[in-house]
Amino acid sequence: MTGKILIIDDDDDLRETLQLLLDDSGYGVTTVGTGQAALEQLKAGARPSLILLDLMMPEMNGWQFLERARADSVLGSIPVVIMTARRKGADLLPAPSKQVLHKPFDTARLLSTVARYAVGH
Amino acid sequence: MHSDDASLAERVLQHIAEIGSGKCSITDASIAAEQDASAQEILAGLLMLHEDLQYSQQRQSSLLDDLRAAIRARDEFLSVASHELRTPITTLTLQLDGLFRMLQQQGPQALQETLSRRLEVTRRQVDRLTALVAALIDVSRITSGRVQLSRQLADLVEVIRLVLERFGDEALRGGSGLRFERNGPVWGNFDVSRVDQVFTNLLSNAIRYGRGRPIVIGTVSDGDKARFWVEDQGIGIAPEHQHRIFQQYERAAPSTNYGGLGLGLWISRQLVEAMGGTISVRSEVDAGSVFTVEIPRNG
Repeated sequence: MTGKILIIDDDDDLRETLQLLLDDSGYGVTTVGTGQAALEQLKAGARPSLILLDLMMPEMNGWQFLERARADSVLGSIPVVIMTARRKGADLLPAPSKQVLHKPFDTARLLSTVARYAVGH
Repeated sequence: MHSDDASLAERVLQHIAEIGSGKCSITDASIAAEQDASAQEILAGLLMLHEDLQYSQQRQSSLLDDLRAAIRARDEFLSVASHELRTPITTLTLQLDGLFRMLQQQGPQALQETLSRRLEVTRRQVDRLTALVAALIDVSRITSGRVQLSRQLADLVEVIRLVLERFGDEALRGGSGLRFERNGPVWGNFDVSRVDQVFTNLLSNAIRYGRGRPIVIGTVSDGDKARFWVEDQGIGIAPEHQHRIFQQYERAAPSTNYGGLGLGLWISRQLVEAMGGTISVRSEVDAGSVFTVEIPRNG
């Protein structure tokens, strides 16, 4: 499995920071700012080994993105790690998301989570 | 005891039990049908007691509904506030981790360029956190009635222009062009930092909800009043939400899509009213919103 990661987050600074960090660790990183843009990339054939997904985004949010991606058998099989600040109530998280990075997370936590799905160079 | 009295006492006890369970079979007609005047009086008293109880129960349940709505709004606020605080903290944490790694690995030349870029991002997160904390402090100041205005002679156009200068980059990143319509200075006795704060809030809302379309800002002097407005062509606000958005912790846009504390417009309204002015909105869903502030020039 190659180490390609797609980051979906509307926060410019966090997106750039994640990209910088994962690039440095040898992953191939693509970033988009909306769920819509991510779906377009995936439909055009992009096949990341992992998607890092923010939940709170304008227009198409993380829940809506997941719903659309899971309706597609190929896209639905790509592992998704959710990045969220929400703590309370598991029902707030889209099922069946097992992997959640609770904000704020640090580099060690991010890299160990990512390493479970994608191999860096 | 007279046997009529005994049966009346029994009926009264039954009615009391009935009233206790929220019902009452006494009616004006059943009272009128009583032979004895004191029995009529007692039953009428019981009916009144029942009606008073019903009224206070209804009032209690409507207060309870209000309380539940307030708790819902507060819970929603806490959830969004945690997102707003934790996102910049995440970026800060990752950036600081990265800075340490860089210092260990890179040579001095590469260091300078990446260092300044990373410090820029770090600085922006600190600004975001500072603004969040300032909003929370404003809430406590306003709710405890400790807002103090400090007015000075100033040109509103200049106050607005300085904010626009500060926002140039952010508006560009959001894709919105800013156009400032004005015809001459608007002098007055203003609390410059509070006017700046209110306008900043309206402008950041316009950028956030403006879908990257052009935003028009205007100022005008109207007799003893000064007016400014911010007009976007974004998602707009449904009529049923337009009165809500000026309330504490309330927001029209869903928190599953948009960040923000739901405090900005409430704080703005409180500040504008403290200045003796008004704030209002005209909006249409999917067409955009115009927020207008009117304040006295010699407040």
